[in-house]
Amino acid sequence: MIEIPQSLLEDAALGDVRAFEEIYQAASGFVYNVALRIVRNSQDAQEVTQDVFMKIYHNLKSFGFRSAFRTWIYRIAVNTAIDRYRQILRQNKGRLDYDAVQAEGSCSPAVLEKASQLDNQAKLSKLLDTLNPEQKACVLLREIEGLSYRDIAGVLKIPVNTVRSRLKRARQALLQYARGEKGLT
Amino acid sequence: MKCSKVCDLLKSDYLDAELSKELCRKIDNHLEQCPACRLLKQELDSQRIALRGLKQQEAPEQIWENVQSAILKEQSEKQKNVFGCAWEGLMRFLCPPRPAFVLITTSAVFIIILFVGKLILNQPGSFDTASSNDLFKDYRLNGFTETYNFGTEIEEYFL
Repeated sequence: MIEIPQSLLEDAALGDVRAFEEIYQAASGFVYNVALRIVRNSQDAQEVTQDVFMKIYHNLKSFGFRSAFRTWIYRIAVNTAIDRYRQILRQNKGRLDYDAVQAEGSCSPAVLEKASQLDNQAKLSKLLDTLNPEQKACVLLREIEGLSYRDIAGVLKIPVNTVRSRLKRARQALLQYARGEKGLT
Repeated sequence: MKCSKVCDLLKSDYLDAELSKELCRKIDNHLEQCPACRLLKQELDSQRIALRGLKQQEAPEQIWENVQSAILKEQSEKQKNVFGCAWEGLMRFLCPPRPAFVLITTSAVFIIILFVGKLILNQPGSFDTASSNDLFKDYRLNGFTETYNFGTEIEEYFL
């Protein structure tokens, strides 16, 4: 995410829509992609992104610059997306569940067969879909945004050891899935 | 160092450069001697490359349009509320709350009645009867005879 100057944040906090648009341009890519990876469909990802920016707009005055703005946006984005994902699960219980996919075994022939028909990007997305939202958030913050364990712990408000174990399990699950896919094709 | 320990560290701290230099060196030494762990490292490296190559999608323009219209709507409502508050304050100043208003009105009416009454009473010839002083001035006890002076000849005739 591009660095956002404090003066821009102060202007946006005073209600300057142009300043807020610049913040949106700098952060919307990350927010939308995190939402898309976690909720897994563009309609919900758009709603999540919209919610995230309305939350940012409403809370800019009380933000107070006590923590890094980037960390704050990451936290709002990840939490809003995970909340939305859980809401979707409650509303639609018949939907494919990350945990269920993992429980079935990442080498499930049906899942792999479907994955093998997709292109590389789709395969990667499918690969990520084998993770639960918390693991996925850690992987995205680490691999895409390049945050350290300490920063991820700060964003998600969890201990550093939890970050470490989530990343380890996520990588293990991804490896198993990839090995299974390779074995089948 | 055991393979299980190396595998654990490869999947977390080693890959993410969160290890001390000394531990890194130990793992590197192990990797040189252990083909299984080396293979795991290669797999993890290619997994990382694949994840970092994950295409980032641009947020649809519709989102900003929605956010912008929501913000502008909120701002106009806020402005309306500011004007509404100012108007309410003015009205409260001009028309005080009910109990105070009732008290002030009652007091004003009472004062007006007193004032008007006094004006009427002070007008000459309004009441031409004998004043209370005149009425009782000649009332006296005179031995057994009571004399009443009511001030008019007709009254004296009948009495």
